[in-house]
Formats: sequence, structure tokens, C-alpha cells
Amino acid sequence: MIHLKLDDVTYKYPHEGARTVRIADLTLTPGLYYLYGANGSGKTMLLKGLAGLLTPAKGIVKLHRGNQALDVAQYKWHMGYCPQEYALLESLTVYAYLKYIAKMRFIPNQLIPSRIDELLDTFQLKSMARQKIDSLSIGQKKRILLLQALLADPDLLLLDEPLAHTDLHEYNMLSRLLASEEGERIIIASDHPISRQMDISCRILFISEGQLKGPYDSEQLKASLDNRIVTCRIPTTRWREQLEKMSRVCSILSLKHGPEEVIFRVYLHAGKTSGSVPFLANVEITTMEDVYLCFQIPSVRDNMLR
Amino acid sequence: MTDEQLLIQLKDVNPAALETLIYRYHAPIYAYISRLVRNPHIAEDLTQECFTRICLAVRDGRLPVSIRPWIYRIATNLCKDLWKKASHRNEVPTDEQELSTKPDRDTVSSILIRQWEREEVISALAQLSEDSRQIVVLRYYQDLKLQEISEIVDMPLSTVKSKLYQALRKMARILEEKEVARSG
Amino acid sequence: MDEKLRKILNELADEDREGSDDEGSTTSQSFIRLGELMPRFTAPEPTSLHTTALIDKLLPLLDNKHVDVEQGVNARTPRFAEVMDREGRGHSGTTVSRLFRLMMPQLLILSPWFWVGSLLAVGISLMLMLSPQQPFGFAGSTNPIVLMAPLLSLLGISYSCRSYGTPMFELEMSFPLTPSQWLTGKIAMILCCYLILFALASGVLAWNEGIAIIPFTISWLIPLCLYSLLTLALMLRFGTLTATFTMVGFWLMQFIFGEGMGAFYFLGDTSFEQWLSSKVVGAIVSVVVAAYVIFRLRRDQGIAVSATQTESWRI
Repeated sequence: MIHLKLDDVTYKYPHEGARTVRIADLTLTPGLYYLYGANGSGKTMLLKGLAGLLTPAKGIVKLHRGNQALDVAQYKWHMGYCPQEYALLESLTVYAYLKYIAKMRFIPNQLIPSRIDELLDTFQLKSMARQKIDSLSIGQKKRILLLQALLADPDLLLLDEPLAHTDLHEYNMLSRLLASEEGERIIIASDHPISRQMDISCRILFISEGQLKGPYDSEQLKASLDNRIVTCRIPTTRWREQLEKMSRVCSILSLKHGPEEVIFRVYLHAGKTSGSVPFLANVEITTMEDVYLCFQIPSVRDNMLR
Repeated sequence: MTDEQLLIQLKDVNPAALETLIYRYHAPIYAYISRLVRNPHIAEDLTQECFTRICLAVRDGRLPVSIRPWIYRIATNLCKDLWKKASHRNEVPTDEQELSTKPDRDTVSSILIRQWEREEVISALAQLSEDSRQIVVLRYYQDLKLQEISEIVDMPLSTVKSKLYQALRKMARILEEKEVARSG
Repeated sequence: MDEKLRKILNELADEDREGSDDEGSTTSQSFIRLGELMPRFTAPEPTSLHTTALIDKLLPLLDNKHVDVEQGVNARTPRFAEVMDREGRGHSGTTVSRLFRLMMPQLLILSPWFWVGSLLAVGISLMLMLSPQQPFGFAGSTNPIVLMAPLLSLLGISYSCRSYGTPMFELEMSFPLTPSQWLTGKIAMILCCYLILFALASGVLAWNEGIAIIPFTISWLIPLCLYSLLTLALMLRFGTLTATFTMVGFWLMQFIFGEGMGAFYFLGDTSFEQWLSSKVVGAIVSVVVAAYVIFRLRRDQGIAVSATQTESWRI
């Protein structure tokens, strides 16, 4: 059975003082984990650390495979990493690039062509195999990056914002693909849950205040916010004066300015109902974005985890 | 076997225990979902989805403290998700269920009256808010304890109580008004 | 009244007291009516056949951790990782075969034009050497081959290591490779190829013109090594682009000032007065730079990314 174990690990960039990510004690079993955190909270740093690009300032990271316990240098054979930046050789064709990666990962030569074909098929990139990478769209490049991470069928898959800059079709395809891959491996994918409602159940890791928290069950987190997320509409002329009153009943997650009204999306504090909000309020279905925003508010977070 | 014993066996991912669980809860959950969504096809799909989730949770060792509220909670959330989808909101609920109870002794007119009374209850329920409706169905039709309901709908016990009472009173009033309107 | 409803209302007795002040209209009469009607809302029950079918569908989920509900057929195909492990994944082998495995992938990322250009450069240098009069009036103490060898190798190395300091390098560092293995693969391919090309050219010259092959080989080999190592050292310190420009500049400077640089003029051939001392200096500098490169790689083992690099990549 595969599991990844982190024991009081701290990561920091070698030349940068302040920013660190600390993981007190974490054991991950195969499954899809979405990694959330504000910009600059250290998601990329954590993933780079797990990918062996940073040595931990402190602590031990081990990947257990059956009865082996491998440290980072050893588990690179069983790890796939998809960086956030376009780590591509633009002048090559898609196929040559993937072949290069496969060889650099020491996949036996005779297995390479069929493996590449199989994955190109899965990622709907077959028709682009002979095209140069620089002629592809951003979303297609993103798919290639994800594909290369899967080439050697890793047990630990680290994805730094694999879903960013993808169109809706690609987003759905990739997130479904990730969900279908989760049975056999540990997938950690950093993501911004922006307005897209994640309906696949998954587990969630949060980085907040330099600490990694979780994993939590997405369904449970969402359920903890059921009936708590409300939108209300307030005429543009009056919303400022209502702010204080509102802050007593709810925490504001986001607001949208319309021509005549301001639409607030809020979290209702415990014990309050949609009736407690001034003006018309509608109970909304909880999205992952709500979960993400609520998690940033310490008091709400405590309620969620209760 | 009690639910508690079942839970212990489920921890070992015992297929027989899961089978027992499905036998025990398939009918009530299907009835519950049917009462909430009132479209037999959707109800069937949601029921299957509900048990799939349970199965996966058992497989992954994500088990609750007690079974019954957990299962109902999953079912409730599935129904809620469905309601929130705009496409479903505009759909006219269809209810093709036939009245099959004791048809041999009933005359046609009594069947019609029953059918009509049933419609009354359904329309009264439909006038309740979403969560009140759930609470009424959970308490009256599914016969769950108030404490369990409070866990399922994630509200304090006192809120559940007052919502239930208000809901029943509202239903009673609606039905009474109809009665008065009909007779008067 | 309906027994069930009565029981429920009893449970809610305290609610009744609280809420009844404004509207006393909900009489027990209307609750009786409610109690009569509520049981009418029957719900369908699944047959045991339904339940069995559901169980049949769901139980396989428990056994097969890897199987998706829809694609249960794939249950028995082994994972690609298992197939790979069976076939052997290049953990072992002799030093030569391991080196070969590091070098071969590089062929894929070096464009055919690179090879054509290199061949042409060496070929033209050789032709110039063989032609009776030197058309460009080279200084007496150098020749096209000695000039070309360091220039080509520095360009070749820069080209081959072009991913250094880019996200691509970061990705390559997540492969089961140490930074020195990465570098070995890259420069071994380039150097092997140039060494063979220039050795062949030297052979042709020795055979045709009767030049003493060993001093001639030393003439181009030492600058080739020196320029390659300096390029590497600068690359590790300042990045690929800076290294390339600096080294090309250095080469031009050597070319222009020529013998005026004395023992620090590395591009001389055997006719250069200070040939021996310049080659010895070149060799010593090469060794020092090589030591620096090795030190640098040791230090970077496992730490391939520094914060400053990371930030600059994020444009």
C-alpha cells in the first residue's frame, strides 16, 4: 500500500528568509487532494519540496511503497511533477518532447511509443503529436505538461495548478481525468477554486498562516456550510450604511457591483438565518470557492472543522 | 444486527456488512428521496448515487459515528444539489406512482378521493421551505428521531423543533383553508 | 387523530406554548385533518429485485480500489509502472551503458541544423587548412581548426544546456537524475562528437600535410577543454545567456589581440613562440575551473532551485 508520510517538515527557499511552510504530521493515502491557499502562501514551495527541488529545512519525507520507505532522492523514480510554468522545449514537436521526457525518466525504449500514444489519446492530443509545441494553445500546452507527469505512471503525482488557463471543456476533462486516476496514486494538485463548482468529491489540503492543514473531505466541508451561504442584493445607494449591520450577522465572502444593486455573497454566522440579513436574501448552493473563502476566516474555519 | 455492530464490520470493509446495510436502507432511502424529488427516475438515480457514495466511503475507510443520520445526510445533500440546479427548478414534478394499496376493496370513487387527498398533502408540503419540508418528511414519514434530524440538516435541535412545529401548523392551516373553501 | 402525528406533537409541546400567542387559529381540529391526510402521501417501495440489482452493482466497488464504476473491464490490466519494473528501468548496467543512457536522449533535443552547422564548420576549417594559400590571412601562429574548436564547443554546450535556469530545467530536476548526471548527459554528447570530428580533421591533416599530430592535437584540445569548462562554470554561476556572450567575447578578444596576450593566448598553434607555456597555463586554468564546476554541482545536489530564480521565472 502506498502512502506519503511527512513528519514535522518545514520548507523554505534557500535565499529567502521569511516564508516557510510547515507540515506538522501528515500521512496521505492514494487519492486526489486539492491543495488550496492564498497566493504566496507556499503551495508551489510545498510541491517543489515534495518533488525534490528543495531540501526540507527540517523534517523527514518518506514515500512508502509496500514495505519500502523511500526518501525524496529515491522516490523520484515513482514521482511525477507538473510545474506551474511552461516547462517545455518549444521548438520540438509534441512527440519528440514526450519521447525526451520518457527517456530522461529511463522508461525502457521498447515501451515508450505505445505509452506516449496511449496518453496522447487520453488527453485528446493525438492529432497534435507532430506539431511543434510553440504552435499550440495555452490549454494544449497545459495538457502536455500534465501528460508528461503521468508518463512513468507515478505513485505520487504533484501538480502545480494543472487546471489554470484551461477552457471549460478542458477543465472538465482534466478534473474528471484526475478524479479517475486517484485510485492508484496520491495526487496533490494545487488549484484556485474560482467560481467553478467542483462536484467531484475529493480531499482538500489548506495552507494557511504557513501551516498545512487537512486533509478534509470536500463533501463534509461543503455540508458544514449548507444553508450558511446566502446572497443578498442591496441597492447601490445604501450598501455602505448596511455594511456594519451586515457584519454582525454574517461574513462577506465576495461582492459584485451591478448597475443598481450590489450583490453580496455572505456566510451567515451560527444561529442566524437568511431572515436576519437586511434585504432580500437567497440561500445558495455551496461551492468550493465558498469553502475556500470561508476557510480563510479563522472563526468560520473553526465552525467548519467542528 | 444493530447499526453499531454493522459499523464495526464495515470498518473491516466487509462486503456482507455492506449488503446488510443496503438491504436495510434501500427502501427507506428510496422512499425518502421519492418524497422529496417526486420523479421516480430521478429518485432512482439519486438513490443509486447515494449508495455509491456510501460504498466508496466504506472502501476508503471514511466512516461516520452513526450510520442512520449519515446515510440520510448524504441523501439529503443529493436532493439539495438537485434543487439548486436551475434546470430542475423549472421542471414540473411528475409523480407517476400508482395507488396500489388495497385496490380490491376500494371503489373507484374512494380511490379518487385518496388520490385527491394525496395531492393536497403534496401541495401543502410544497408550500413549505426546503428545509422544513425535509424535516417534516424525516420526522413523519421516515420516523427519525429529532436528534438525528438535527444532525442530518445540521441545525440545532431547538431550531429543528420549532421548524417542525411551524411547518406542521402551516400544513394544517393550508389543508384547513382548502377544506373550508371547498365546503363553503 | 393519527397516532403518529399525536406523538410528534407531544414531543413539540413546548413549541406550542411559545408560538401560540399571535395565531391561535391552528386548532386541534385542523391537526386532526392533517393527521388524516398525511398518511395518504405514500411513497413507492423498491422490490427486493431492485435491491439485489443495486447490491450487485455496488459490491465490486469494494474489492477493486483501482476500478472506476464505468470501466470495470480494465480491472485486470497491470499498471504501466508494473510493466516497466518488469522490463527493468535502467537502475543498473556498466558505467559506459549508464553514460550512454544519459547521452542518448540529448539527440532528440539537438536540432538537425545543429549537426549540419557543426559539420560544415569543421569541414570548412579543414578545407582552409588544406588550401595552399590562406585566404583570410590568419596570423602565422594560429589556424582555423584551433580557432574553431573552442568556439564550436562553447556554442554547442550553451545550446545543449539551454534549459538551464528555465522551468524546463526545474522539471528535469524532478527526474531521477542528479544535477551532475544531467550535466554529464548534455556535455558528453557535445564533447564526444566534437572530439571525434576534430580528431578526424587532425588525422586528415597529419596524413596530407605531414603535421606532427600530437602537438597539433594539444593545440586545439586544450582550448576546447578550457572554453567548455569556462562556459560551464559561468553558466552555473550566471546563467546560460551570460556565459555564452562572455565566452564569445573572450574568444573574439583572444582572436584580436593574438600573440600580444603572451602565455594567456590560448588559440595559438605550434608555431606560436610561447606555445608550451600557453598550453600549460590553459591546462592549469582548466583544472581549476573543473574543480569549481565539480564543487558547484556537489553543493547544488538536490537543491536545483533558488528563490531568486523562481521569482524571475514568474514573469
